[in-house]
Amino acid sequence: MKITLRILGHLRDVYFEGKDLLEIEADKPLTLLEILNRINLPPTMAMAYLKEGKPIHKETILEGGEEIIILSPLSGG
Amino acid sequence: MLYGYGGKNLWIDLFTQSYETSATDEYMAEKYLGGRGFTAYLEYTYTKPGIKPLSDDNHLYIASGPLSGSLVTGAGKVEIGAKSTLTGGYGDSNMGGHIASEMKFAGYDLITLKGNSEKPTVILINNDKVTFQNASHLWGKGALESEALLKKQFGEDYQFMVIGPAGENLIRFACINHDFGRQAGRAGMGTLMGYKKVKAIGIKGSKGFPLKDPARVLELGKKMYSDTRNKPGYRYWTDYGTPGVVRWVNENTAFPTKNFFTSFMEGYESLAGEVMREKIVVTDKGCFGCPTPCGKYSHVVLGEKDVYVEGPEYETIALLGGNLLLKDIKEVAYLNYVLDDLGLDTISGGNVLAFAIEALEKGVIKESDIGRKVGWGDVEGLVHLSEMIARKQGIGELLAMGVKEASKALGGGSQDYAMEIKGMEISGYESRYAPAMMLSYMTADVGAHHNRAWAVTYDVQKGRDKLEDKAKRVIELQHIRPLFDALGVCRLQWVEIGLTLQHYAPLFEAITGREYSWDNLLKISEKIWNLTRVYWFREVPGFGRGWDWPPKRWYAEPIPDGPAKGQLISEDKLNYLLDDYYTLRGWDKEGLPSVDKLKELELDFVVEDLKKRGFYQY
Repeated sequence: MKITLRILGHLRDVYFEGKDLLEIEADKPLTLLEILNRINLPPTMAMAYLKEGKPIHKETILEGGEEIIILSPLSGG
Repeated sequence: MLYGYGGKNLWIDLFTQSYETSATDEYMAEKYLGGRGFTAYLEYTYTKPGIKPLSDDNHLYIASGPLSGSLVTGAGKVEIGAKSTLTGGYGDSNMGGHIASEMKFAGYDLITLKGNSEKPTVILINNDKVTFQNASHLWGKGALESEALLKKQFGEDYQFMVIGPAGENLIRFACINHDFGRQAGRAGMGTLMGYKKVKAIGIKGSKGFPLKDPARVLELGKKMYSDTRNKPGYRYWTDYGTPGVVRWVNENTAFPTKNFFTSFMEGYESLAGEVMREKIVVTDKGCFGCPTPCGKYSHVVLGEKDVYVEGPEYETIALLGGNLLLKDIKEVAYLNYVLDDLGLDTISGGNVLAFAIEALEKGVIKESDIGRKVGWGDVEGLVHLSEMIARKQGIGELLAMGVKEASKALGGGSQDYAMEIKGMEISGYESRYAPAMMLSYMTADVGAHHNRAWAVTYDVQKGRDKLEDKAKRVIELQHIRPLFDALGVCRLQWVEIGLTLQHYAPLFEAITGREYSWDNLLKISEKIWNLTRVYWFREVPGFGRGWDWPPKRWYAEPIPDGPAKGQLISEDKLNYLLDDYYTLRGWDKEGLPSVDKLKELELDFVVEDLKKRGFYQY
């Protein structure tokens, strides 16, 4: 199974050497937190993790086939 | 032909209730762009030096920018500037909505209010015609109610800027309201409007303004809109707006909590954007020309109170929520409504209320001064105290001066927890574990305001213990972010949605016909920054390094609890940050720009002015 991660904003440069797309291969469903650990992104770094445009929690189980958007923090107005 | 500009300046004399117009100055347009560039230039060159902020000579400048009212996304930003009634230094405040675009459609790049009126007045600007209307029937009424009455009286198609009782009563942190929820909140611009006895300004325009290459503007503008809508973050930003950052700020321990006592609020989840959307938001609300309506219009039922309010946005959630320990988004939204209607800036207001509670706890203020008990998380008490401040009742008169002056008067150690820099109350980021954000606040040119350089992400991502490179990044941001305020557009499509800076320079050229590279534009922004800096030196006796220093809580009290427990930026480290910052800017140890730097930025007139005043010995 494969989970696609799309990184938006400055986290892309800070953590992923400018890459905005990562593909994670796994042989069983994983929580979002487990995926973040695998890519060495501290879970509090992103402002939100989106699946189909809606925020998901770090405990959300991903079954494979999903695209998750990792949204860099935005300024507060 | 001055492309991209309305072409005229409107000069209103409130003493005589008369007006005249002049052509927009081509030199100013070329060298200072508009918006914040105009307010900075005029405050330095046109407002008389050495005046008191509350005086007939303090002109109020309202400036749109060359991109305002155009097809650039978020082209609805107006800058309002004057010598600050809150700080006594350089003042400006930026506001979204429809004022900037309407000004341009009426033909104006700049509206200046001079002098003051004898009686409450509404200024109505209908294209070339300006009339002065009696506003006595509105004096004393809330800003939100007044705007509704004005729309009913004069027509829905006027765009109004309105003050509430706080502006009328000269509360030093009074704001200007517009469009039932947008505010020019900072630096006391509403206070000066109240001093001038101008309850409201209505603007209606039906003209266009010239574009150098309309076909190219249309092509690039459409691309900018479609690029914005196609960004993957678009939906999140539109759904949650700035409250979407509440969770991140708490998880990264930078949330002002209990008068900046600590940096993390237990139970912050109830204030997060997703909860707010579910509980109170009824619709989204955007400014002129905005494809990403970040404003959230909310319906709040709280006991017998039933109100609609735009917001709360992040800063209001931070200062009225975390900083006052209000943990129910409905209560935060209700207090937001109260402050908006009174015409109080929610950032300064949240600070002043928190300061008062702490002073009450420490016995510096007595319960009898307020007339009732007021504590953390006590929305009824906070509403009561807000009313006292806006109407200068009892202790409210003292608190109405802002935390710097109030703490000076109260004594008893209260200056240690008066959370301000340069006299402006600090906005929504606890910075004892965020050196770049700390430096950003210390050096912001209106006082401790976040919008000049939102550097907290840089701290979190690059290392919160690290000091190196922080000054460099703060300076970069202080040139990029305020540039948007000179152009008259919102920066959020860049910083939030991810439009590249390269979207802007070609549009600027197609609109104005002037070929500026992005670097050229940033150089202008640096010039404006240095101009506002020397304004402080000229206007505030003894101004220097000490004015860039944070309150004692921020360098002497480690964060007491939560995930960042024990963190603090020592005075030595603060000095390192400031030294690095001044050196990189070409400023001396007191933060005075060097003659060479000013000349490099074509600010020779400043050099001559400051030499006459004894600042330079050669």
